[in-house]
Amino acid sequence: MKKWLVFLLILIPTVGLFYFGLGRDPRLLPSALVAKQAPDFTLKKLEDGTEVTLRGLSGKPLVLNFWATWCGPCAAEHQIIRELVKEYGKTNLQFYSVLYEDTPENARDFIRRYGAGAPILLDPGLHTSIDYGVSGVPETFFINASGKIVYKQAGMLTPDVVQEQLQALGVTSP
Amino acid sequence: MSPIIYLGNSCIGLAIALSLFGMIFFYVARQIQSEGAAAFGRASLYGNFILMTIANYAMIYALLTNDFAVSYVAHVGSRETPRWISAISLWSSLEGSILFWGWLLSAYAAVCTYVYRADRASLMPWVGFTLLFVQLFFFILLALPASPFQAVFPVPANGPGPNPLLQNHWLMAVHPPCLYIGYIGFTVPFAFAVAALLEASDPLDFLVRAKHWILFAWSFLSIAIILGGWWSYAVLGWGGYWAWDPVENASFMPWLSATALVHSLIVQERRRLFSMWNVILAIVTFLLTLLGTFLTRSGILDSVHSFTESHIGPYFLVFIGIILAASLALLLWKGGRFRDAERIEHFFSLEVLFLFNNLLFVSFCFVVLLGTLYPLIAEAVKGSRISVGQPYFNQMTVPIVGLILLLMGIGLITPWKQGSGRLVKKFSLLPAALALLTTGISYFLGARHPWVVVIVLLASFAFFIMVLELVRMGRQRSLLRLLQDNPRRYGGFISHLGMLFIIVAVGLSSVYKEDRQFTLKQGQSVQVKGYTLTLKEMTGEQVPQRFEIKGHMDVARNNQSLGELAPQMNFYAASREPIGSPAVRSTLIEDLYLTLISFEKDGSALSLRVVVTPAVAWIWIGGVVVMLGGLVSLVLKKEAA
Amino acid sequence: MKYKVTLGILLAMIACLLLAACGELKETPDARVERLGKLIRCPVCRGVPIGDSPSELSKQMMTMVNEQVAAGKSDDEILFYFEQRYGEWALLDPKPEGMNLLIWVLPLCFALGGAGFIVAYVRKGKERQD
Repeated sequence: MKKWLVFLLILIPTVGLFYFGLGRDPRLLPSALVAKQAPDFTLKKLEDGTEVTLRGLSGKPLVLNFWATWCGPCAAEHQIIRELVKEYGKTNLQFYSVLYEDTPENARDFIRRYGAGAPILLDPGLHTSIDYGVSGVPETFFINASGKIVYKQAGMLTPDVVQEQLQALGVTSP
Repeated sequence: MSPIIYLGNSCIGLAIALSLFGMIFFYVARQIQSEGAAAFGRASLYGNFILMTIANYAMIYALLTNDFAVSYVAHVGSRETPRWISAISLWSSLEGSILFWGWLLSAYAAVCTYVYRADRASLMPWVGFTLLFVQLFFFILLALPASPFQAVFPVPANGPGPNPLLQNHWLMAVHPPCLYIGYIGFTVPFAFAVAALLEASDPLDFLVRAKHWILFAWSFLSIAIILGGWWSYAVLGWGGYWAWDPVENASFMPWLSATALVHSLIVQERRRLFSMWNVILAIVTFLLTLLGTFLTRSGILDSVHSFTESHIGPYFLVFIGIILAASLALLLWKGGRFRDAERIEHFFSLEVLFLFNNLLFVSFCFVVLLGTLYPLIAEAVKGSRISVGQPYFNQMTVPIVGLILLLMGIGLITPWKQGSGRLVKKFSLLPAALALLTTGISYFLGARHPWVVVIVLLASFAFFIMVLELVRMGRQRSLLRLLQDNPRRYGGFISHLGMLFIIVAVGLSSVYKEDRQFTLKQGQSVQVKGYTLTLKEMTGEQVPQRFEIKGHMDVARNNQSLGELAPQMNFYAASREPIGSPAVRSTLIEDLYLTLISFEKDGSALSLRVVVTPAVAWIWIGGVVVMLGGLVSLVLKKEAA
Repeated sequence: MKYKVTLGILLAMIACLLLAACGELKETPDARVERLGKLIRCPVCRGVPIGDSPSELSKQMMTMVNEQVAAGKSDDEILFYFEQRYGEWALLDPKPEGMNLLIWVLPLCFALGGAGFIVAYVRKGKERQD
């Protein structure tokens, strides 16, 4: 009897632990920031160098996307973002893309080639990227009108995710 | 379809069938005591070896001829890859490495069968049975989730080439085979342990058969770990060789338990003690090799050494479950029959020191296991992601290493059986004084960090005890004669010496590493730790498989030129991130290590990481010495004792 | 007697040496930055601390550590800054609280239990002998 107990006490937790481990992606990190107030930022626009701050954007829902020209999925995502901007341009939704570990020249090149998406913000010291806990691009934050982060998408946006999260933010397609 | 695919898959399919038949034959052989059935069983082990040899040969042939119709070649081959790299691509990715694994395993099993072909002990059929069972699992992997011989259609014109990190250095030709020889070698002692438990045979049956295999596998695992560190050092570009990464830990854990085993076997040999414990350690070591492979190959833990995602995880889980359940059942229900013939008589005896040595190594292993798995445990229990990294492992393991060093010294002057500390008193004062002197000197030379002081003190204590012991013994006989008379003991001395090199070098190199970064324009110089580095020029060159950017640096010290170092960055078509090749100037005192971090496209400037690390070379030297010690005590036969 | 005196002198000298070594342990700000850099995990690498990573993000994070050290922040404050942004995952040395304590306590129990077992085992063997 005692032997059976030892047997099961070693076997079940070990196998159970590995079974649990197989079902998860070790690289998928839950954000520490969801449901918290979005960190403030002051960033310059690529187009004209004007400053954009989070405070200046408050009162309306905001989608903040982190990307780079060297990242493959970002290029694919770009098309989705372009459509999004077109579709929601007339609503109160604000959309910005923060350039991560990249040069303004590359970004201008990219836009020339693939067309403009959302307005691009520059983050030369990566301070804002670090404040948002970015660990790889693309990453997208959905921030509500009172400045709270509602959701973070790690990896490429999909139309379904966008639809769902915008609904949660109270933005409806016109 | 390529004939290679038919050939490879037929071999794997036949090997599966042969393994099943062989297991039945061995089972029957044991039940009805039939030598004929056992002969059939042995034949299937030889057969598997032949089949795996053909399959591996076919794969190497396909790799060398760029036969992209074979899935594995399409996955890791490319026309631009140099031929020697194509050949070693056999183990550059999952499917090929399992194929290679299958070959080594069947080779081990065939050699084992041949060596014991005339051995009629009742445990031998079980040994064959267990070996075939383990083989069967790997052959099933090759047939289903990790099949290297799948047909690709349409046949691509070219492939991406092997993982750039793996084709970047010649060590990739040496490190994996050594690692596999070590890892897979522990299957044989495991088979002996299982057989011994099933038969409840005399504990010595296990010992006399398994000990050589254990020592052999241990020697190769030792050098493999060191070579792995060397590879990280020479390729990854951060100037370090060990990061407590899950993949590194996976190779380290079985080494720790095997090291405990290598020591406790000596006690069983001399004193007929610890017989049950040795069987447990042999089983644990094998389980740890499986666990390590599972953790690193199923993508269950995040690791620097990224292996591609694969589907072998569930298969491995089932296999580990079966082996763990079977081993536990055997140990719990059959293990009680193992009884030691003798008893320990005194606390202050070598037997007890060996017990503490084992406790330290097993605790060490436990720390590494816990630290590696804890993020997984925490996530399963609390749901939150946490990390356990270098700081934890360092603070936990350094004290253990210190205690091991202490035992290493005292162990040599402690006699078996007796209960008096007379010899220890007599022989420890002088070494302690010499160790103190050494530490004092190194202190004044600048090795002043408290941990370094402790390590140098303990290591030199062990060193001088060993030297004085040799001096005493050498008065009667020449050193070579000593080695021949007692290869186990003096082979052990050699391994210990190598370990001392490694431990001191690890201590010095991790505490006194100087790591700086600079941006240099052409013609500009920087000074680091007495070295003057000048950027002469930058060059770019297309070689077949990659584009190489080199920063040619003039190195000088005290106005004396030391020649050129050219750290380079390699751009592979298959990878967005360039892979660096650091340039290292290695001496017995210190290494100057340069990595190219970034460069201006017009070649006018570059960013450079400069790492000056003392004593690193001694780690590699120590690794070779450790392995030599193991092999010496294995090869030299003790004269009738 | 002579043995004890010699041993005593040796041990005293070793103690002096260690004390002197510990006296050397004064951390410069640079050394502090380096130590902290080993405690924070690089978010874009795998299991490497920011102090060892060549990535741009790690370099910027090291700059931040440097700035915060210069601004006189305590170790805990600096680590908390990164924990807030990247979660507990970013700390390579887990926080010694709650369930995390297990990774220190369990090995200790393991080693002490093993030592206790050895003592009991040897004692039992001796009793049989006597």
